[in-house]
Amino acid sequence: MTDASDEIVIVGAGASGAACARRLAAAGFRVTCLEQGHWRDPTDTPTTENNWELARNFEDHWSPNIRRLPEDYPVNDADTPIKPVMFNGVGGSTIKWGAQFPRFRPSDFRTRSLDGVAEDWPIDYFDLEAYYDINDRIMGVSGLAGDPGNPRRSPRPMPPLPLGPGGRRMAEAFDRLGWHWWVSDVAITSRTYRGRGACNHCGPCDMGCPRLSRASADITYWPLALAAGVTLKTGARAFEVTVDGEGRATGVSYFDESGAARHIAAGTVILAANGAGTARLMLLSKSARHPDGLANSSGLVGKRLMHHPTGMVSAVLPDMQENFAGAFACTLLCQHFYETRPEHDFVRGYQMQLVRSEAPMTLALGGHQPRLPWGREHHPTFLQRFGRTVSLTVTTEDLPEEANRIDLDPLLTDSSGIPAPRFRYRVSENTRRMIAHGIGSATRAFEEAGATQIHTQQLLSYTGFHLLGTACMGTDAARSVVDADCRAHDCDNLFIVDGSVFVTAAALNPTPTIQAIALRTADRIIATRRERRSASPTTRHGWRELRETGAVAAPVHGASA
Amino acid sequence: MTDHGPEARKLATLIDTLLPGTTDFPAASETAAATILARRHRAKAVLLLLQELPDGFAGSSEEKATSMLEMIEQQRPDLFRDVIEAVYAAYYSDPSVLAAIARTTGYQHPPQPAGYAMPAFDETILNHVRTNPESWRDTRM
Repeated sequence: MTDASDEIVIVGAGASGAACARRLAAAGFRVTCLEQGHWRDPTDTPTTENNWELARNFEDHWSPNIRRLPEDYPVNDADTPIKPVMFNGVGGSTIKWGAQFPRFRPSDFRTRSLDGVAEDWPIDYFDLEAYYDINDRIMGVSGLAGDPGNPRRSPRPMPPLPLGPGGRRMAEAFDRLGWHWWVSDVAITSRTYRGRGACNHCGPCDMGCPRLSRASADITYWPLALAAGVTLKTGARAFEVTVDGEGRATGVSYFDESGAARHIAAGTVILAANGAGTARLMLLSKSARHPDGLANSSGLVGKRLMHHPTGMVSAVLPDMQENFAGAFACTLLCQHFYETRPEHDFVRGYQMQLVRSEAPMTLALGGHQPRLPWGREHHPTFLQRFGRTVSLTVTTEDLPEEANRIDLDPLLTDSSGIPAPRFRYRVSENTRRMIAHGIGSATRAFEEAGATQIHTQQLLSYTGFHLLGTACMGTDAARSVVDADCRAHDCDNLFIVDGSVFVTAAALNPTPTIQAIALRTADRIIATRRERRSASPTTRHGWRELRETGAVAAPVHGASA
Repeated sequence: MTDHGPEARKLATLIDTLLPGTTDFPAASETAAATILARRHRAKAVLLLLQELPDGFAGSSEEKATSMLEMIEQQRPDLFRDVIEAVYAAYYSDPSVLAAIARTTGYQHPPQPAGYAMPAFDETILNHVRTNPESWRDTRM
């Protein structure tokens, strides 16, 4: 028999929860993961149906407020210009992502030391480098090493995806301007890989991929995690992390599929419910020892919310055709304006990411380009633009501000009656200047490429994919929520492994960094248990020696997959 | 469309004024758009607009119908935006429209299972950018 202190409970089966669960289970831990959503059959996607664009635009939306599945929780987004988007289910928001897979740069972890803003992370790029590599292999990354704009990295598991006609044109324009660019690292297979088919360039990766070319945590990590012995409970909606009289976590209370309240005891609790869900659960978990919410003596849980405020410039290359082919968001990145420069009127920087042409309905309704006119000009304008547009997103680094935050809505609840998160967020002046500069840069690049109908958008609304910073990492318990190992300062058996722990946001898609941190955290938990076991023999049974289980050893330093 | 009543004729005039046919594309009334609009809850705005259009709208010339709709677009922008969204969504879900797009542009619909053939990534396009100096800041120093 075992006791509860052997059990590790993870809340959330998305990118970070899956990675952490697999790592811990492979090292012999007994792990249970609670997920409020369900499995989604990856081979049953709307993109095999004629009306798939109806689903994309109106039904199977990125926003839980529009999608409104029973397992979704609503978000009060009235007081933020950037609308939060996410997915609740096994695989989390990787179910509906574009699979851009860039790594942060070393400077992203040292903004205070280098640029005098925000705070440095207590870890750096090189602490995560080995975990980035492990993660790239498991997720299945296509790309190319050798980018002079980033630290040298290992050969990519697969070669890059094709640039397509728009990518080639813009790459040539960047070259003529002398701006640095590189082909994107993407979690999409450019050839068959570990049972997944090669990408056939259909385009709308966010709608799912019946060929399994586009990675998501349900098809990459979860089969490995389940094989390693993880118990995954779907339809399990966590509403409290319970604690004992000393304030240590004792388990998680949740509603099961039938709506019955249940409790699972645990010796270690790991939160992996994204920057909104984790902060929400911590704020829900008030107790005598944690009166302001779990592990919130700093008052920072829910605060310092960061997104990636994004502008867009879209244009038409009249002599180009068929730029609708290929993964919609995965071609190249321009990081020429990524680092702080004295001539800029803002601190830190931005990336520009190439996006291909839109599908027919989306083009007509207006997305990258303005809505098509009605009347006699409709079809000629459609033919002028369709397959001939190319767009650049201007994705900026959002510096942390305590006023940007998530708290519990006093009225809005999910279908179980649990208070929903309320977002309060403003785009900073620094970010506005950065976006303005980026829009100018992207416009210049399109002019260089010979584009027409250049259309700019200052701030895209439904871009709150990246929910970061709401339980930040740091060495000072008064100024952070978790330490460098993602262990809560106020609760030594509570860990957080999602984007909540980010100290700064960088200007890059965060999932590879989130997963690298989750893997590293798992190794820190493993190391701590080993040290504890060596120092004082225990009668507990849950932590089994690797040699007893036959599991592959998982070294903490010089980490391996 | 199978319904030829006054409301159906008004709807046909409305959607054909918004999306008239061309040599490449069917007019909206030649598709299932009208049926879809009559069925879907998103089409409430269309039904509301139809109630506001005068009885003579169905028999008016394209020029006159266009003028009337332009006026409504100015006076009721939110309603008109919802109408456009519903009509475009219905039209671009119709198989005959999607087939027309495929004929004129090479677009593959639905995206799966066929996808597209694309030439593999050609590394020679990196020849210039490979020569750039390293531009990341090494924080180990």
